Amino acid sequence: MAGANEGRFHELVERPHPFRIERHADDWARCAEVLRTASSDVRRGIQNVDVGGQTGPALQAAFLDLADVLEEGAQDLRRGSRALGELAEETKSAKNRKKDIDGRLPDNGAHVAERDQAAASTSDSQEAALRHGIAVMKSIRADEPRGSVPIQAPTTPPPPPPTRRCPRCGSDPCQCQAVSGCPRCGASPCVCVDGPHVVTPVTPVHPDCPDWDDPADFTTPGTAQGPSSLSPAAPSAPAAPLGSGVSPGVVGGAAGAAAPVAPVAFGAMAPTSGSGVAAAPVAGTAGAAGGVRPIGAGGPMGSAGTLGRSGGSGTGAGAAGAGGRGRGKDRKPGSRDRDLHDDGRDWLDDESAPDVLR
Amino acid sequence: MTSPTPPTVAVTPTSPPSDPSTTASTAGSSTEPYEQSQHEIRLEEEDVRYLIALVDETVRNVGGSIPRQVEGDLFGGGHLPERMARHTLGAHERILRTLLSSVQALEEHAGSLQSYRDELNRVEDTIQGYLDQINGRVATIDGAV
Repeated sequence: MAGANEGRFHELVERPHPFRIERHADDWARCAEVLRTASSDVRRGIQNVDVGGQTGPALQAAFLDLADVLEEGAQDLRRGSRALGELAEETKSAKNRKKDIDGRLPDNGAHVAERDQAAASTSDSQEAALRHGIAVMKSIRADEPRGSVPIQAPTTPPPPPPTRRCPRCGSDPCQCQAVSGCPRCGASPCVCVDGPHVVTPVTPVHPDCPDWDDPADFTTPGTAQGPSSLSPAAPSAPAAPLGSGVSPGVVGGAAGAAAPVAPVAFGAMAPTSGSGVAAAPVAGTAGAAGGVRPIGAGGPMGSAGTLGRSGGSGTGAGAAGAGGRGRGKDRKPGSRDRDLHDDGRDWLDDESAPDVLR
Repeated sequence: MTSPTPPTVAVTPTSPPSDPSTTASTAGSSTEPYEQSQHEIRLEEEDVRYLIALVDETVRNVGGSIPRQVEGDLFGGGHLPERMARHTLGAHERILRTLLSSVQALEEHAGSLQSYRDELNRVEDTIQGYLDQINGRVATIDGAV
C-alpha cells in the first residue's frame, strides 16, 4: 500500500496488541472486584461491632469513609477496564477490517486510491476509539482530595463513544466518520454519502466542542509537537516508579515506600496526666492521607481526635488535620468537569503528570 | 504496623467502678458491678479484635487490587497511541496513590485500635484487681466470722 495513509494505518491498526489490551482490561476488572468486596466487607464489618462511648461513632465514621474511598477506587478501575475493553474490541475490529481490505483490494497497484481511502477510514475510527479511551483515563481522578473538590456530574454529557453504525445507510461498521452533530452545540452534521463511502475527516468544530482536540493530535505521527516520552528508542514503558516496585506484599508491608506519596506525619502522641485508665485522646493526625481520616485524627477543622471519649484531663488537639494529600495545586474546582472532554488543552498536564515514562 | 507506646489513644472504654479500697465498706463488698463491667469490656475487646483483623484483611485485599502497569507500545505507535498509554499510566498511578493512602490510613486505624485494645485490657486488669481485693476482704470477714 503506497497511499498517504499507509503510515497511520500501520501505527494505529497493525501495531496495537488487542489481546494484551484485553488482558489488561480483565486485570483492571479483577482489581475493581477485589476493591468492591473489600469495601463492602469494611461496611458490613463496622456495623457488626458495638463499641461504646464516642469511640463507636468515630470508628463507624472512619470505616465508612474508608469504604467509600475503596468503592470509588473500584468504580474508577471499572471505568478504566471498560474503556480498555472497548478499545480492545475496536482494535480487533480494525484488524479484521484490514484483513478484509487486503482481500478485497490487493496491494498490486491497481487499487491505490481505494485502499488509501479504506485505510484512512479505519485509522480514523481507531483514532476516535483512542480519543474516547484517553478521555476516560483522564477522567479518572482517584487521587483528588476528597471533599475539597465536589464531585459533580458534568454539566454536559461526555462525548459519545465512536459511532460505528452509519445513521444514514445503516451499515455497521460505518465507513465514514459519522457524527450526527456536536452533542453540545449541534453543529457539524454528519456528511455521510450513500454508495461508496466518502470519508469526511472529523474536523474540530471549535474549542468548546467535546470533539475538539489538540491540534497536535492531527499532525502526522512523528511530527507531533510536544515531547513524546514514548519514542521509538524506548518503545515500552520503563518499569520506573509505578508498578515495578509495588507488589501486593510491598503495599501491605510498607505503604508509601514505592510510590511518591507524601509521608504521613503521625500526630505526636503525648500521654496526658491522669490515671492509667482515664487519660484523654491527645493528638490528631497532620494531613491524614487518602482522604480517610484515621480514628482519632483531627478533622478538616482541626477538631479533636475522637477515638474514645475524653475521660481525663487532657484536651484532644486536632493538630492540623487537613485531611488532604496536598495535591491539586494546579486544579481548580470543577476541573473534573473539563477532564471528561479530551479538549487537548492540558497538553502540559499530559507531559508532566505521570512521571513514569522517563 | 507497630503499636505505639505510650498508648496513642488513652481512653476509658467504660467507666469502671471505683476503687473498693477508697469506698465505703458496704458498697465495696459487692462484686456485681465489677463483674458486669468486666463482662462489657471483654465484649468490647472482642469487637476491637475483630476490627483489627478486618483492617489487616482489608490491607491485604487493597494490596492485591493493583492492576499491572500497561506497556508503552500496547496501543500501537504514534502520537495518539502514546497518549493513550501515557494517560492509562497516569490513571494507574493516581489509583495506586489513592490505594496506598488508604493503606496508610488503615494502618493508622489499626494502630489506634490496638491502643484502644491495650487500654481495654488495662481496664480489665484494674477491675480484676478490684475484684481480687473484694474477694480477699470477703474471705477475711468470713474467716473472722
